[in-house]
Amino acid sequence: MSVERRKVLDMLMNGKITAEEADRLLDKLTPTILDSTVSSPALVSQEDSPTGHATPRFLRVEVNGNDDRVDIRIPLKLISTGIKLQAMMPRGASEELESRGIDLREFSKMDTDELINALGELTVDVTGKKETVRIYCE
Amino acid sequence: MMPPWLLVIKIGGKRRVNLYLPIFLLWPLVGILWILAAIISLIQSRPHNAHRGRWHQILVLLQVVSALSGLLVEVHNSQDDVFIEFI
Repeated sequence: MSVERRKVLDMLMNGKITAEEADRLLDKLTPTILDSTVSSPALVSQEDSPTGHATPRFLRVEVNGNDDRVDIRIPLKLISTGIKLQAMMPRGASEELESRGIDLREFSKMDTDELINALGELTVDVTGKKETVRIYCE
Repeated sequence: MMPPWLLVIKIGGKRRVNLYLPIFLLWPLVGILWILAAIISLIQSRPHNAHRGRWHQILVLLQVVSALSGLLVEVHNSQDDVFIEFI
């Protein structure tokens, strides 16, 4: 517990301030408390990490079989810009897809930054009898 | 966003191929072609006001090409090894 927080609680306990005032003061203190705790190494955001790898840059797909091995590294920028490629799709093709219930325009409405951040936490591990598939971001 | 400047293609196995294609040599050519295409599309589409769509398409294509940097495809099996990378 921080010194400021303890002081507020002491003031409340001694009856110097009301519960509403204490609540308001604690609310004001919250960012300060967060600031002081963030300095611990475990809570340092990835952006401030010394490695500098704030956000994932690549989507990796690894397939390992008995004799075969496939390793694909796709830049996430390619995914985010590739979504815009639907603008180049012929009208007939997009109409055909729409008739089958696939509306590519929905992709362009997506927030690509949000998508990439979400992909950063993605890890898919599939282990079969013959093959192992691993999909992750790095 | 920096477009890829080198394409590395390595094929192992019986026919060993190592190719280092300097894509950066194509940049000036692509630039000139892009300017020409943009001018032509602008002239052709002006009455219909459809040039915005074509501009958008050209820009998207350039963005996709630029985003290729870092793409890696590696396939190994008992007979062949294929390695393709955009640097």
